[in-house]
Amino acid sequence: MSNLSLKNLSKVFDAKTVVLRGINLEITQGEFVVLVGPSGCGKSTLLRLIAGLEQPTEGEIFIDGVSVAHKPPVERDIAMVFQDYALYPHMTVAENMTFGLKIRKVPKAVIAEKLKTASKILGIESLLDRKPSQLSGGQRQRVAIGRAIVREPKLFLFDEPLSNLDAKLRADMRIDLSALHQRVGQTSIYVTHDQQEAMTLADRIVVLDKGEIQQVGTPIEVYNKPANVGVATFIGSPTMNLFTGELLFEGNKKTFRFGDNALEMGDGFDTPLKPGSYKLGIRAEDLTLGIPENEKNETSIRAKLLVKEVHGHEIQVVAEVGGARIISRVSERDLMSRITGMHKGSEIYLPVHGGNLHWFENTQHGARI
Amino acid sequence: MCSPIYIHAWSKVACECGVKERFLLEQKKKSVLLFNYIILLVFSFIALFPLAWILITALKKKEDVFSSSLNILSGNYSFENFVYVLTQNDGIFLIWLKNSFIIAILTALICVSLASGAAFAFSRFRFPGRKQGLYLFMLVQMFPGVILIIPLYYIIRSLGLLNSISGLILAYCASALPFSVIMLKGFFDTVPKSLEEAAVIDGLSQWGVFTRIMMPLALPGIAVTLFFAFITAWNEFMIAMTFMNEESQFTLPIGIQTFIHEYNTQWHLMSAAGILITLPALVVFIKLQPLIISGLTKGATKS
Ligand SMILES: Nc1ncnc2c1ncn2[C@@H]1O[C@H](COP(=O)(O)OP(=O)(O)O)[C@@H](O)[C@H]1O
Ligand SMILES: [Mg+2]
Repeated sequence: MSNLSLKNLSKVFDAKTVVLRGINLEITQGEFVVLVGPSGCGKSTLLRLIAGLEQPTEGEIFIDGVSVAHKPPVERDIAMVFQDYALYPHMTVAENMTFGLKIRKVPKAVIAEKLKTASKILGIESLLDRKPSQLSGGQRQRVAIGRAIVREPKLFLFDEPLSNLDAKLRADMRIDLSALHQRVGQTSIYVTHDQQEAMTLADRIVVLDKGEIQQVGTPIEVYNKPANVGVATFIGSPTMNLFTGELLFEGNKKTFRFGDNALEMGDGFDTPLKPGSYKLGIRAEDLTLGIPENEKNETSIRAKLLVKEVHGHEIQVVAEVGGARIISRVSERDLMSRITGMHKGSEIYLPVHGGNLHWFENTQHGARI
Repeated sequence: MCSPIYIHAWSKVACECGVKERFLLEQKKKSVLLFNYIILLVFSFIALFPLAWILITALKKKEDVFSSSLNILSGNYSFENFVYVLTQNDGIFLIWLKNSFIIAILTALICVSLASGAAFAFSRFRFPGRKQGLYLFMLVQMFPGVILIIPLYYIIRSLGLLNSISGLILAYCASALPFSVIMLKGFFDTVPKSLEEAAVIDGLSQWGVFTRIMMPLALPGIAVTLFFAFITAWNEFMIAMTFMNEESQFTLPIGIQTFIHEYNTQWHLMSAAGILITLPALVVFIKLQPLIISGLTKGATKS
């Protein structure tokens, strides 16, 4: 049985602002699901509907098979970690963490036991007597998570819990959260606008945009088979290269024309596409620089070098093709040293391999073909 | 790219700049500070001088009050006036003190209980008439109190509460309430919404949120409002003067008035009574002072 089930959920604010529409989602026991999408797409609203902080305009919410859409938060047995931590400033860390248990009249001995376990897991045993104002950002975040853990709820809800931390701490906390989930094993729904966070944390990713679910899948599925142009360009860094053009069949040759490039489709290109207008997506790592003499042929994209971004383990080459930008990732040592010698404006050739191409309809929605 | 020599040169320039600028900055800071102190001194003097004058007068003998000598040290000081004020007329001053105290304390408590509920609603709920209600409170606050005395008199009289302590409490609550609501709303507004939501998820009811989250966090505001309501009632003269006509029901401000006679105002006694009136208010303020520390909501959220 699924732990959480959303049926045709929608939310309209002030009778005119449609924030969510037709959300259907099944989440199974113990899953870590990440809701990801650009700012303002309705992620927080969806989480708040599940928490009971907002009422749905339409649709149903089931937790363990029980309809809760119109029940107050206290009857849903959920815990939520807020973006701004929302710790009670007038209470100590220990009081913050056990407040929910006290309200639920859990026996004192049990509370003490749970507090001990949770604070040990999070490594905040030494902070229990402090007030929130005496903690660093990272420590506050731990306390906020601790407050959720001690309750042992049916569902953990996280609303961008790491977005107020600096990059280094964020990376550490991400790992801690993963480890924590493996240990506690509670069903979790985690909201973020950071696709990298989504990829690294999720068992399953739900991509949300404009109030609708765009795709649901494992991180690998979403990365390798994005459902549409929106997902394709949102997931993955750097952003997927996208070309709009015409696929032409001339005898045995299949050519994709975009700008002044005529790209001949080489081996591995066996998608049963009809001739016509398409969007072609290629991830930067699938566009590795070739050697000019060998690669100067019809299966390469010809481009002008704009910028070399050195990342240490790789170089991201930003080039220009017919006025559009194209990004290629180079991680092989020989190639990296060759690029280092190149200048702005140099002509480069980027060989394309059929197996790594993403074809989308040339429409606004741009569904995957 | 950046050779050590460059770095050295740059840091040297940076240091020199820093020292000179810091020096100028400190000079500037000092002169601003001095200016601030002078202003503060002037205003402190203006505020404290009358108080000092009253204190000295209270300690003087009747015949010395109008002595033109400004020499503070030359006078003949004693606590005689205080003793007289406290014991005259079978110690009626103490009865007035008791009346005033009961009225002011009850006014403060009732007013803050009512105002905090209203302020919470105005701060957190969206309901029809919310805006208008707030404007109305502001508007009421802008009327001079004297104008309200006559209608208030009629209301209190029709309730049969003239010449009674409860009538005065009612009138004082009514006049202190609007400002208290506005002030407390301001404090409630500073409590982040997410705190409330966290509490609701932790299992608190709306009432629980109010009593266990909002009230403790608005404690400085509540202390300020308590003091404001207390002082409003403690110092009030016009309404009490209009409503009360039995000497045993007087409050201090009207009691003190008995020292004013047509041809002979007893300044030395008035001053002593004035000092005696101020002391309880001072005690209340000192008691509430520790609560009026700002930054109680610090640490709730990210910043
Ligand atoms: N209480 C509200 N009233 C009106 N509009 C709202 C309210 N809450 C959120 N919205 C709108 O709904 C949209 C989605 O908001 P939100 O769920 O917070 O997005 P996200 O968390 O994905 O950034 C935004 O355009 C926001 O302005
Ligand atoms: Mg959000």
